Amino acid sequence: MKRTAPWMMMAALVASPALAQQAPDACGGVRFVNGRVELGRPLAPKGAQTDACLKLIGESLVARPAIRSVTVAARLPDAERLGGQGLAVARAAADVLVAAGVPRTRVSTVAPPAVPGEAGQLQLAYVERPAQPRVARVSAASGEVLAGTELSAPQPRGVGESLYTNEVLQTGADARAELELADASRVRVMPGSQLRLGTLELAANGKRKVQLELLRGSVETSAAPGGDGSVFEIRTRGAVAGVRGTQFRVSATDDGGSRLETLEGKVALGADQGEVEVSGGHGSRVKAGAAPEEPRPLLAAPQLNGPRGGDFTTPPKLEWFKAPGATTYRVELARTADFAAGVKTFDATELALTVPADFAGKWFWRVLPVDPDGFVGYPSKIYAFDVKP
Amino acid sequence: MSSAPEPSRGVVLPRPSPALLRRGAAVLGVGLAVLTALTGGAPGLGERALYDQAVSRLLPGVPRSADLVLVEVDDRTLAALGERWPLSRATWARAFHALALRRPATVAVDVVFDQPGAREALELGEDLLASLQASGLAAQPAGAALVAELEAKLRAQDGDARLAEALAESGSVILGAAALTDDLAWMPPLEDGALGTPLPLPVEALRLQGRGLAGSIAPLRMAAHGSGTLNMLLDPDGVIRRYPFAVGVGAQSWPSLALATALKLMPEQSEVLRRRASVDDGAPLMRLPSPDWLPRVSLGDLLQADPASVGLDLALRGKTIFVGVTATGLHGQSTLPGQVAVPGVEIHAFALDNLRAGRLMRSAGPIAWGGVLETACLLGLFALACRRIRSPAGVIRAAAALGVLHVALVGWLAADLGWVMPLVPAVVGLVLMLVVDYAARTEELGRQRGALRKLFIRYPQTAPGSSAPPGEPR
Repeated sequence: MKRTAPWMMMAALVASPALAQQAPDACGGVRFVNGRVELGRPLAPKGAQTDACLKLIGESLVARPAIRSVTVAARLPDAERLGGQGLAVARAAADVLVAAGVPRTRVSTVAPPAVPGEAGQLQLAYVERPAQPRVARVSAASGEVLAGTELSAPQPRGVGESLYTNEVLQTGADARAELELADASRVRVMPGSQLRLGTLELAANGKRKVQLELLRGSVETSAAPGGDGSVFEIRTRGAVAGVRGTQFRVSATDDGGSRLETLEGKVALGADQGEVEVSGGHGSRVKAGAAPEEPRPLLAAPQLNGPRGGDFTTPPKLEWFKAPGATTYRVELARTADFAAGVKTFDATELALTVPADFAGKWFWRVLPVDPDGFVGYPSKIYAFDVKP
Repeated sequence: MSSAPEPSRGVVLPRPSPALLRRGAAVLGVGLAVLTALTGGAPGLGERALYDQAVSRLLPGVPRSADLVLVEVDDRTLAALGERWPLSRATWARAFHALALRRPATVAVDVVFDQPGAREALELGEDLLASLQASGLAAQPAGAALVAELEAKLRAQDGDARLAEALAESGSVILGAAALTDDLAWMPPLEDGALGTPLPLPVEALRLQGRGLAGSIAPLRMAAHGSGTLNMLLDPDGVIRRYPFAVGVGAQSWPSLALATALKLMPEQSEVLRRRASVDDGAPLMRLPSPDWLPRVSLGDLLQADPASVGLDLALRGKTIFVGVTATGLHGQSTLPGQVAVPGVEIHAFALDNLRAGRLMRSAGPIAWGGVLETACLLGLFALACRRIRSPAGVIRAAAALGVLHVALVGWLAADLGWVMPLVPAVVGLVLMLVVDYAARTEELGRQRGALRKLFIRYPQTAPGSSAPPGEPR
């Protein structure tokens, strides 16, 4: 198996100052969702924590050049609002944003009525007006998902946020993200990956041109159908995977090689020394400076033995049957059956895995066989179990 | 011994009895009523035109409301402002600021600001400002004054920000939103929870369902009091007979503009309003307004009037204001029963009036099944009458009497209680039963007449006064 070991990814995270930047605590988390700045906790009208949070929001706004204006609303009880304090509080908050680098002309303030019975709080909303069309939107995310045009200063990105050309999305060692591209294709970015968003051009006749660059890690792609002459390429350091079909995985290994696994349709794997067409159910790889290898069959999905549902007081032992050719197995557990985000991955050499003790609630699980060269085969059926201590 | 084969006569089915045919006609009438009930209640198949005529000409119109005012973007407004539709955000900001000065009870807006306003001039100004600051000129007194002036002008030009300020200043503005249906799929959807708190109404029962919600841009939603959907329910003939007070999206239900406005106006009656709004699967039939029932103020007049104008103050202060477009060719072309195209904003206004006054008409659920029962009883009574009454004229009289009784009952229920029961199924059943009965009676009479004629031929008698001798043919 040639997968990047989790400890190596952790080392990479620590080594990179950009990735070492942690999620904001002053706000309890910041999300930019569809025009609203969503915070982990209500933002009090005043106070040191409010200022710290606003400073953090201001820095996040500066890192998002597509956001062209931001509105600060101070929702205070009527007694304070009608006395003029509402606007004063909002303006003070706006000053903090300006101090953090947001141009003053882009910040406005309002003081709408508060919801009766609720404490006063600050809210923020923004208008996004990108200079260029959006390439992708984060449709699911778990763990540390960062993005930015500069690798040195990425900012956290959450569900609903937009991504533009030349931005690099990177996932932490235990993080995943699913992107919905503007052409309706979906790209799952696996843990410990870096994906640069290239161009995305859509023509009226359904023709499209999508170019992504995988700098590290792996992605799994479901390409939407395109018109004649469409291009959907994922580049790695040494190869280009060009889509002629629908579903495939691309991995960029640390030694400069690339690996392709086509689940459906056809994908062309090209390098300087040649190109092979990898049809569904096959995989191929390119080593640095070499030509792509001949396609090899992917391993068939293993049969699961159990559990196939049911409630458990303690985390159960997952068991499956041997898949011919597999040397190891990748066991995935997720909260949702689409395995888009929040996926816990375990590598197993045996045909069983005991779920860790801290896994409570409902979990979906599946197993993927891995061959000696690290090619990941088809996933098994998905079953669920519910741990109710 | 052989015999010649008899000529084939085909299969002769037994002829159904008149009672069976009458029963079939009754079942057809009741079946129509059941079909109407299953498809959402009256007006059902074949009775929409009749309903339109009745509701527009016979039912009394909604009286003029004293506290509702329409501020309209009419032809005069566009001419006065020299703008084309859609109006700029700066103009909207001026309009809402002018409205806020009049202290209305609430302002319901039949417009969705789903895209940011134009920012090209702002971008240019920002670039200029950045250049000024980068050049070092801003450090000098004249440059600093220039920067301050430019910032002030850029601030004034930011229409979205100024509109948000004006909305927050009023504090009682309900913005338009839209449930994304097949004909509205082009609007950008909002994420869950963007429109605030959903209604505590069962989603599955709602007549209007959407795939998602679209609304105004986030800063405007944040500054406004709330949002309400602008969707209408169009029947296949393009007529709006029902108003959807709530729309289901996913697992949540959201208020229409009329319901959101009513909840803002009468928060203490929110439970009653929600109960009324859920009538007929959230989309009851509407009572129609009398002509010119809604006082109007041109937006152009509002913008150009003296802030101290007493007349405008009297027209708007404390009122519930609906803002929408009525200019030629710009408003929707949907029609109300028996009327020409009506601007959508007016429909929202009298839906609000219907809702708060409880003047809603219902036809689904128990009312529809009551209609089935009434149809069945009526046709059963007529079947009984057919058996008891000897003469065809008597049967016709009974059918006419029952028909009149049915029409009177349906009309009274609709006018007084607002219960719209199906009219046509019972009439169809009655007419069919009458035709069947009349045909059967006519046939029976013909048969009896033929039998009598045969009897007379077999036993001829001399007619009184005849001169022919017995035994000679007459």
